[in-house]
Amino acid sequence: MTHLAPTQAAIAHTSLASSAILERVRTIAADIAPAAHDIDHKGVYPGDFLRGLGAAGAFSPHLAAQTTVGGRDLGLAIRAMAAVGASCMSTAFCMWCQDACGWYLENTGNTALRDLLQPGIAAGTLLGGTGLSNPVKALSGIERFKLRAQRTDGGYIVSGVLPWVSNLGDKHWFGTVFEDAADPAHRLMAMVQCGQPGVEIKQNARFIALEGTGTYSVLFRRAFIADEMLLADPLGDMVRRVKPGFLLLQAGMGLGVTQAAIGLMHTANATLGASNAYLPKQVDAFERELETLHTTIDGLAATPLDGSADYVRAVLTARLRTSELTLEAAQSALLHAGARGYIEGSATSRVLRESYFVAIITPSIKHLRQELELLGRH
Amino acid sequence: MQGGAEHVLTSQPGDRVMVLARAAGLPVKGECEGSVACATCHMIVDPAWATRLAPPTEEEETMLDTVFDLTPTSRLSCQIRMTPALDGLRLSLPPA
Repeated sequence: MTHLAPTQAAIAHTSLASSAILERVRTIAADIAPAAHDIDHKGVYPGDFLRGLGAAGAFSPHLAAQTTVGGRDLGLAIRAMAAVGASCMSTAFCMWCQDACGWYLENTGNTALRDLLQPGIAAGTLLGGTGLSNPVKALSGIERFKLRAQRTDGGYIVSGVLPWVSNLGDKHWFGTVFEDAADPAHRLMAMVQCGQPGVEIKQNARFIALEGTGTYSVLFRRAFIADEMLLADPLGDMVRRVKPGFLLLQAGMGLGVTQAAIGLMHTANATLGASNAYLPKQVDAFERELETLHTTIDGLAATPLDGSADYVRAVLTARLRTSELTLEAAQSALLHAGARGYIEGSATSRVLRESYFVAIITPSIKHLRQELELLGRH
Repeated sequence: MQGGAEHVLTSQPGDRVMVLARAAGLPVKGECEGSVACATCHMIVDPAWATRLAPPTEEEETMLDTVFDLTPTSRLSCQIRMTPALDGLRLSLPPA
């Protein structure tokens, strides 16, 4: 018996076309599972799997002009990510990067840029990521903008460095935000291509997991960003507009890792069930909580452009709950497995390391709690 | 030196300046933990001391190219390890 698929309750309402996409995604997820160790540990980039997921329709449901299911369906994009995350969170993280990249194009007023890039991003023939970690923190007053721009004929000259941007490689695209050196209140968002003049990616650090996610430092050395590549100038409410979708899509990773942890608990219980019965929280409790969270996120995903304070609070709360449940489930999976889960290379050890990433990716648990606290004051 | 205020830090041989500055509560982020991937530990070496440090590697030079407020004696403080010969080393932080 396998426990790697999203809960039936979570997918019960999907249309036939949605079901077909999910079936294709689950087939690919099963193919990814044996490669998860090498992706996680040896740094093998799952590019072919990602292109396959694009062809299967995993990157298009949340994009109105690209979706094949009769309308924008952010929830389907999340469920597809969760299905893959149950096999390999590194690949699910790359899916999130790709989905976020498409989401920025979805929300731009630059229709020519959207028409140029979004079909390829949706189909997986172009791969891309998101350089929004620093801007999100900078707009929350947590750190300074790391990229500065100077106006020039036909565009901007940009310098600086983004420490970690993922799902990158030669010719991959990503969206990010610059601050105008002449007027720090003027910010702008653009699409950038790795390898264009002045834009170099460097891989200097090694992480405790997710080595194969194409994560690089991006160096901007007087890079020219043409006006045609601008997603928003001025930035205006662009980040605020994309943020709920950005956060809800992230939940797909955590839902997948939680599902993987539940699967590991079932596996452990097959031989260690008598003693595991004394653990403080049992697998059925995790299953119920995961199902509830799926339902909550599905509901929120129906209105990703709702900018009301109540909606944003609910999204932040659901995203926080995703991190908390993921951590709790991964830890419990290790407690269920015991020493066999503590062996280097075990799936349990990988899921545990993956779970920490869900909790620290921007916005991390501490930043989500900080944002909720600030919202509560207004 | 930060905003005109001078801080005196003590060290052991082998300590990295980035780590010392963070421990002293100075605004040196060092987000990449010294893997030369971010330039968030940029500091400016007093010119009188600059030539007494080992020169920057090509990797450090590349990262310094991205720094705003670059000076001729800019360095990544994660790449400066203290030695007895560096007792008295003077550095300043770039403008906030």
